[in-house]
Amino acid sequence: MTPTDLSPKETQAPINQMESEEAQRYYSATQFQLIWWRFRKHRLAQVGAIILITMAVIGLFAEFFGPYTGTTRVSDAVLVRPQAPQFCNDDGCTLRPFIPGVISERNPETLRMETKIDPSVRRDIYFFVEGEEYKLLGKFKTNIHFFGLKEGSIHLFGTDSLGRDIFSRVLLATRTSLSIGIFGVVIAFVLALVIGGVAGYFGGGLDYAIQRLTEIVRVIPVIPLYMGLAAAFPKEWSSTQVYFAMTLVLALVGWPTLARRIRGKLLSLRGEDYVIAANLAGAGPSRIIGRHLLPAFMSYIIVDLVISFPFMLLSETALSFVGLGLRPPTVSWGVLLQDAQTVRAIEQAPWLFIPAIFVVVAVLSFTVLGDGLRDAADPYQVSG
Amino acid sequence: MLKKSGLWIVTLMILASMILSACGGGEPAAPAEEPAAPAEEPAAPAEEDGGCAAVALGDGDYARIYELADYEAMAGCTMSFSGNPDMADLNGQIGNNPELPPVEERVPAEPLVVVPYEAVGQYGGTFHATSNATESGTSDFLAVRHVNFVRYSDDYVTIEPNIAKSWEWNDDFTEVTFHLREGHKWSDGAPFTSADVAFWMNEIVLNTDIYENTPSWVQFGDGTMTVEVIDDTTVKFVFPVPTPGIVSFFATSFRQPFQPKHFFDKKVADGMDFVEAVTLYYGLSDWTDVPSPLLGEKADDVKPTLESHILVEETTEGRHFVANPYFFMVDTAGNQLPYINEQDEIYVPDAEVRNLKITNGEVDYKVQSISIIDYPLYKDHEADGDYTVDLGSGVGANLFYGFNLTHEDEGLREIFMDLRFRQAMSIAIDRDEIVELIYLGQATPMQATPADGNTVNFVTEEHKNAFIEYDLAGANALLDEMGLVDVDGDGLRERADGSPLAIELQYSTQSGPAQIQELVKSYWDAAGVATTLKEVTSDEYRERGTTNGADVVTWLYDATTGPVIVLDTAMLLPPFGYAFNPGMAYGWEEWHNTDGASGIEPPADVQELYDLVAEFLQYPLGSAESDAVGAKIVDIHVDNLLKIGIAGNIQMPIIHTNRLHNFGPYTVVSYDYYRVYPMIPAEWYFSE
Repeated sequence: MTPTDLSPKETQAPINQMESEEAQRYYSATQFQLIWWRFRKHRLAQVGAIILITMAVIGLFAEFFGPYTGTTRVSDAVLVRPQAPQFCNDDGCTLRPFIPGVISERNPETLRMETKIDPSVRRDIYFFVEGEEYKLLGKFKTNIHFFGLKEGSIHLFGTDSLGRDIFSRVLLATRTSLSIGIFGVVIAFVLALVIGGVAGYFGGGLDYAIQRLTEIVRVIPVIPLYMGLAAAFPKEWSSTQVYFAMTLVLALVGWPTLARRIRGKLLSLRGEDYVIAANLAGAGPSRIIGRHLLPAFMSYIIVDLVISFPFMLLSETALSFVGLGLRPPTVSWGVLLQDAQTVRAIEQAPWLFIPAIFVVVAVLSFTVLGDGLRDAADPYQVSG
Repeated sequence: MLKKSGLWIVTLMILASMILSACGGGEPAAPAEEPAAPAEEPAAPAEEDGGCAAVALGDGDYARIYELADYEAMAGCTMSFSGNPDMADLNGQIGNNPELPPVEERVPAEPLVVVPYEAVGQYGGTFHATSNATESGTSDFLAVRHVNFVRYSDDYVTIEPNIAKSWEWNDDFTEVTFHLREGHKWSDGAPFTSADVAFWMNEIVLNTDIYENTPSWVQFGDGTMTVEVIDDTTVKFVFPVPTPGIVSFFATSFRQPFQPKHFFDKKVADGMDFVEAVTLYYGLSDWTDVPSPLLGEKADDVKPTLESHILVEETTEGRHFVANPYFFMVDTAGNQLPYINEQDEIYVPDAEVRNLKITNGEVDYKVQSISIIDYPLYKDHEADGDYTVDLGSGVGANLFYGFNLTHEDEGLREIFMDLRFRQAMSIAIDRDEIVELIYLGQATPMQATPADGNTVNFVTEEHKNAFIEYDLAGANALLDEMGLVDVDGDGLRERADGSPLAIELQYSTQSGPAQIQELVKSYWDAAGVATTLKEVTSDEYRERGTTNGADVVTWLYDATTGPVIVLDTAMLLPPFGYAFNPGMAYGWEEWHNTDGASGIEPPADVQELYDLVAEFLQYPLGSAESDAVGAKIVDIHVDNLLKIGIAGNIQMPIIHTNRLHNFGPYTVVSYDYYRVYPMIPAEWYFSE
């Protein structure tokens, strides 16, 4: 659904036919309620939201949903193909899903690892099985995994050339990548709101000073900056610390564009009558900016925010490449995809590209979600 | 292939009939049978002639090369020469080359006769090569056209003549006399004489306006090698100390001990400053593939060469070469080599693009910058890319880890200097798993030795197997004993004073796939030694390594083969590395160079190395004395585990297109033998 679908004809009709009580409810609704109601009509955006929430949940509990840790190597399952759980084989069907026995063997002539499937062996899949020990949410020690085998190994997305389970790694990567993207965007967003808002609202000398600061941040060449920081990061830092540092770096160079736009918008809006009215009514600057000015172009901010997300994802990948980024054993989508960008992987182990699907789905979900939110947040939508 | 070889058969018949007429006699009908089974009949066309057929492999001084006079004497015939019919065209492409004289005047009076591996070839074609960049990954292709005084033969033991016809030593290995070929000419037709050798040494290498410091590779003992001209074709090298290894140097180094004196004389006569001319035409880089004057059009010519092909065009995308009209080799039928008309080299910096070019059959030959890990990919496309991929042993390819024994952080230095730490780190590595996962099972777990066991006699099984058995419990016990225990319970050990112990492992993928580093990290982490990985460019790695800034260095243990260590002691003595392959004991080197004034004093047995290595250099490789001293050197290295090795006998892919013939039995893949140089690539030819 695109904004044009919600044409006045469509949106006004229900209002005209509304019972008086409902009309009452509509006119007395808060802005948040209005946004929520409009958002509820945007099916695609809801799908996007559900996908992102699902990703966030499985990312958060990656160790629980994944049968293995990200670094476990299964030596007799190197480069095995993805395995789909099945219910039936020659012996008939069962309620319990299972996979056939799988083993990887090196072809003596081509030296290629080949997946050998033994249909006569049946490996049942159990839920809430005991497996490798891990700390849930980094706190609670447990060894219960959502699913797994009691014997042999299961690899829904196959394994890489070291015999590591890609499914488990993708789940872990989902957590890393999503959180870097979200935190990075949020921090950059808050910075941009505050800096751009102050500059735009007050103008004058303060604006001038902030604009020069923005320019300074903007002219810093990004790659050399990253490389300089990469050298400055102490080697003792754990991957968690590197990860937070990275998020911060991404945010600190990510705010100027949005700040500029907010400033420009505020400069043009601050002379509007309703701002003057609010001013006369005694509202302070933060209230005027937060309550009256920002909501006026909330839809615009949302689009910008959503566009920033894929940018953050890609930046994370680039950073990992120059060495500032994440280091093994931390995995992100970017790190996983680096393993996949060889001709060898494309031809002989295409399942290494599965993380790319996650990237595409996540980016698309953010886009449709942003689209829906923009429509929902647009104050001119109903009247217009 | 048979269909396409129609033209080839005709050419062969023509060639064969030419020999027949030259050597007289023989049956004209016979040659038509030859092309059917060329592989079995290496000296095929000559064999058609009753007299020449007497030459069987092994009758000469060397397996497959002969001096013309010897060949004619054995074959009982007089060879007449024929050349590439396209040579006038090719000559026209070479800078300011004069008109082409007939082939008899172009080949030396004493040419080198090469017995082809498969068959007498046909002229023509363009050879396609890829390098990574102007000066990166080029030695693979350089070796195809390279020449030097001598070369290793394809048995990798015998040194055989090349530019030099022969050589002899005095009794104590301080003087070696090389005999050049009568009538040998540069690629512009000017005579090549011993004056060109003396010119290289006296006017260029020893010229302090060119090399501010005399290069280390001409310094032996306390003095410098000198060159004496005896006559036009005889030149003597004199050394202050016995230096039997210099012949290996002239067999394997990219440095050619001759430069075209007449060319530089002419430039000076034309008003160019001598140093400027040398800088422009010779280049002063550490490496030979410096950009030529053709790049950026600083000049329209290049200096003449003795190599099989000469540069005629250079852009930022690649280089183009044509056959040298005055090349000094002929085949058994008297055809002047090389067979291949032109060579085209393009730069492909991206490894995956190179892989695609290889699998499409667009690269005629490749061994450098490709690895066993892609072997299944190459094998899959063998048929549709119309190429062959073989495996050959890489020597000097054992990946090593060397902890910085003179680390600036005293705490780390103390830990690294503890032999128990190095032993623990070695046995914490599961070499079988690395061999299986990374080398696809095509390697042998092996400890690092400063001499490659496949190329010298004095490396024993004990050396190779020292501390390579995977034993995590043993490693933990050794580390516990050192007092490195886990204080804070995070599974990682702290230093004895309680501060965190962390090793940063910086690596470049030029030394091998990143997965090896991930595995090693996981082994060391499992032993409780926190290891962080950081991928850097090879330049960054080298810069940091050579400035004593690394915690641990990791690279391939090259410069360790027999022909290298008889002369180049970089890997035998502190810092146990050189500019391209940084070592890990720069403080020891400094201590030695300053007679103890600064730096860090090495342990007593390492100090012994200096005398042992000096002694080692005095004996010819393979002699009993050499083996005895060599064994002592390896003992000290291995007992101290100066470097921790992973695996040896690593197999490497060797790729060549099926249209390329006379490729030869390529069995050892190594820069140390100058890659394909032992195979005499001038005899390669195309069947299409």
